[in-house]
Amino acid sequence: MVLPKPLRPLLFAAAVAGCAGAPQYKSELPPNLNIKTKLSSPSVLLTPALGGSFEADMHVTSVDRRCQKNYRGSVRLDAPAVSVGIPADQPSLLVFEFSGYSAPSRGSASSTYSTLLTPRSGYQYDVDVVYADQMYSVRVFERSPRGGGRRELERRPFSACESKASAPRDRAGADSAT
Amino acid sequence: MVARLLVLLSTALLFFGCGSLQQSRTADELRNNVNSGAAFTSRDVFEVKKPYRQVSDSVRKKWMECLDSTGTSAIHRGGNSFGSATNTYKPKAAVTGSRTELTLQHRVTGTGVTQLGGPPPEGFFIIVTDVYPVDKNVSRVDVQKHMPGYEGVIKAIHTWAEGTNMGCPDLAQ
Repeated sequence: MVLPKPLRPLLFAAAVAGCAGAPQYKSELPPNLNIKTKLSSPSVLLTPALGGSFEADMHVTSVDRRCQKNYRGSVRLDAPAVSVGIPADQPSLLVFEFSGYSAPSRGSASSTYSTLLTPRSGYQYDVDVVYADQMYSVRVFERSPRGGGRRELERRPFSACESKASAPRDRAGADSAT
Repeated sequence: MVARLLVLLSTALLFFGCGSLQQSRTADELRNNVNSGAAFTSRDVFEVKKPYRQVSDSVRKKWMECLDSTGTSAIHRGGNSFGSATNTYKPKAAVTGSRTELTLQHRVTGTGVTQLGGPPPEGFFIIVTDVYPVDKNVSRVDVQKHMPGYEGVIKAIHTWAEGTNMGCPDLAQ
């Protein structure tokens, strides 16, 4: 099939945006994950004024007891605050992707940050996503239903799930992310 | 971002296409390449007025957290031809009472991308950071790099060690 020429750049832009056709994450669960996002484009080439874009997405993947991953959908972080519901008492792999597209060069690039989160029933989780000066931070906080402030959770790599499912490994003071 | 990508790809072509410009397959090989002044190597040594354990803990934590990343990039090759690549980064850490060794490996896969020179399964070593105690309250950080770019990572190592900014560098920049 030959795509009409005017549509080709648009299709490519959509494809490189990282979420072309990516299903939107949908959940009937009450919201327990509240994401606040502040983005500052790393380059003027990635701004709408020059036909570019810079955006963030959160990809949600459920992880079962055998650490098998099942992609559930993506949330476009294009509003200052977004809330979604993810299943309690089972791990979800949250992948935050920052992606940019430059119209003049028709090139794109993206990078990701991921963490495993196992929400506790009744608890609320706040995620602060900030991108500025070519650096980013993703901080996850847990709030108890009984109040009393919130505590920051450490990032858990996906390998934390693998190590639970398999025999304990002798790490001998060494650390490795997978 | 895109300009850097083009520079990186051009450099990668030079790198991967020329046998004399070997990339580093181990951390020690990277150190040797830096010592001998091989192409695309650099070194940044600085001291922080903080105890070794404190600097080691904070830099190791952020190293493992921030550099465990995957990125994609796409370039327009002209006409209707596009190429894409996936960059996978693998951070590792080994800590003893007298040295913290942090390594970062980089693997590239994608359409039309071939990393020549026999990369290790988890990629070539591109950055090695060693943290040492100088005395009770001073630590030395030695960052050695064998790849152009990644200035954001170098800057981040400084801020992690000093505790002034714990954000992650965008490896796509």
